[in-house]
Amino acid sequence: MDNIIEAKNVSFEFNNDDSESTKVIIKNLNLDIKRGSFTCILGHNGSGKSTLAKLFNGLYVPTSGDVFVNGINTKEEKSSIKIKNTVGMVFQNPDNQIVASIVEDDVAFGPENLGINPEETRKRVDNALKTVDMYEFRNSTPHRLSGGQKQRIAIAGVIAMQPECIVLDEPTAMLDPKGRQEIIKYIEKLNRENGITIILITHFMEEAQNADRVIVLNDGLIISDGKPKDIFSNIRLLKSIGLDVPQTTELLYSLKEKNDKVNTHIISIEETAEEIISAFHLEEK
Amino acid sequence: MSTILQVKDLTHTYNADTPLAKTALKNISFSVEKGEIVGIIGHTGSGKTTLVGHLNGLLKPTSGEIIVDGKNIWDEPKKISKIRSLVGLVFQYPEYQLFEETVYKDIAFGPKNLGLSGDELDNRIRETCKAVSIKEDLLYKSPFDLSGGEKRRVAIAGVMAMLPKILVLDEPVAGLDPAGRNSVIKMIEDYRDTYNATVMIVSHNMENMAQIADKLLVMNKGELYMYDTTENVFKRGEKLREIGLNVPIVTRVIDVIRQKGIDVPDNIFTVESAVEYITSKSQKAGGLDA
Repeated sequence: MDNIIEAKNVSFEFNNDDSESTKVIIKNLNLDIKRGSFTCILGHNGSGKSTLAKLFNGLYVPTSGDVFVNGINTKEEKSSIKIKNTVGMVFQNPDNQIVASIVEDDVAFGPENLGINPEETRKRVDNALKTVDMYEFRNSTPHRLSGGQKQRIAIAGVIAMQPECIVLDEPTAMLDPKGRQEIIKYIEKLNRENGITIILITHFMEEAQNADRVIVLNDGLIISDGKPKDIFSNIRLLKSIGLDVPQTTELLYSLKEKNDKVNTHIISIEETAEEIISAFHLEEK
Repeated sequence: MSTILQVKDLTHTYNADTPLAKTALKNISFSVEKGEIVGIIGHTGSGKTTLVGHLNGLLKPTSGEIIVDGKNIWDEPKKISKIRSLVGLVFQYPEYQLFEETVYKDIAFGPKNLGLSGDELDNRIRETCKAVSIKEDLLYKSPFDLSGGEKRRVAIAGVMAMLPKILVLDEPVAGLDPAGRNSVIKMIEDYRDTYNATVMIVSHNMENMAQIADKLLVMNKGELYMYDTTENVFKRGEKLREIGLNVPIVTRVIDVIRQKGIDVPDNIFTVESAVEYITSKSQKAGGLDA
């Protein structure tokens, strides 16, 4: 499998106009994203994760170092449109991403701006809405939909542009638990069934459990990189940088202090229950 | 205990008498005692925000009554703004509403509008900050130089400084990291303990509700679905799942253990109580290899 995104020695700084100080957000970061993979980037507020997201599709260009999308450097201005077509973005607040007053017009906004002909646009809009199960709402007004539904419309708008990769920056932060689950389900489906490379940025660890790879970002540096189970079992590290761990992990970890045999490399509720039964010899009555 | 809030037969219809009429609350009745912390849960669109808006008179009931401290808040409609000193409302992401040059001035804004000035105002601010552990040196900083968690605490303190008898908070811990969340929860408990105030919290986070709420009020499609102690509500996981809610994750783990034929109690809602139970049960069975 080849890489769709490559970041090489990337640093990014913000300059404060009123003071002389510069703030370094990303520090000499190296990262490759494999085509077709599902990567989750975890970090608390201010860890640099949103900045990293914007570096992936050229919304920001590195202060030093390079980001390549399909081998094209994001610094090349003439390729800027091409890069944004390859890597689509979905942001936190659905209300900020919806431009039209009718759902299907909103989804058509992207492809129309790419100069796609009306027939093809129609096809893409229908397909995109069906992918997120919002086809029956195509003639509704977005502001009458729930937060989760609006976020699905925003995702449909990105899918209609047929990107190879979608970066989602805390897409569930403003949703309720049901809306959150829905969005994660569709994101996983896009990766599995449509083969779209997914980069999901979040601070909800539960959302990372089905990812191929989890990267933990703190203070602009990658401090951990691996499979979800391996990352989550290091609860002390995650808590020390202010991240949430799933309650199942927290439970197992607290139990491990009482009984060293407890395996903490588990996330799902079912497996946690089984582990507790076997480690503590709980018996049927 | 004495009753501080009574909601009687509250119904609210948006756009009443138009084709767009939508009933957001249907015949809601409940009462809350002094000093209680009540969690309000329900999925999006269940009427939580509409309900909360009625408690301090932002919304007027289509029918029904809101009685605070023994008085119907709409008895004298022209004086409705008085209710805001009795019932303080903290909106979602309250830090977006910080606007003053210093934390001190920002916290002063509410009590000043209640007519406090001079020493009285100064005392009020310092007393409130002390009660909820906001450090003095923070008072002279710009609110915009604070971290996200501190900003949230300062914004909440601004409402607390009006010393409302009922403090209502909409998603007070949303978007905070665990440390920030714990400090906001602690602050809310401190406020309740110091002033014997009543607190109502809207939240989606069942794990936090298990930690802090004495009672839970469950909304579904504009109706009051359940209103009981936190323990009794979380014992009815099946009923909660029917309306798209759930019990804390640790309780779901315990439920799975029970489904496997093991006898476990149905009142475990926090990690601490789960650890305590599992280890004690295991010791009894001689299962711990000490």
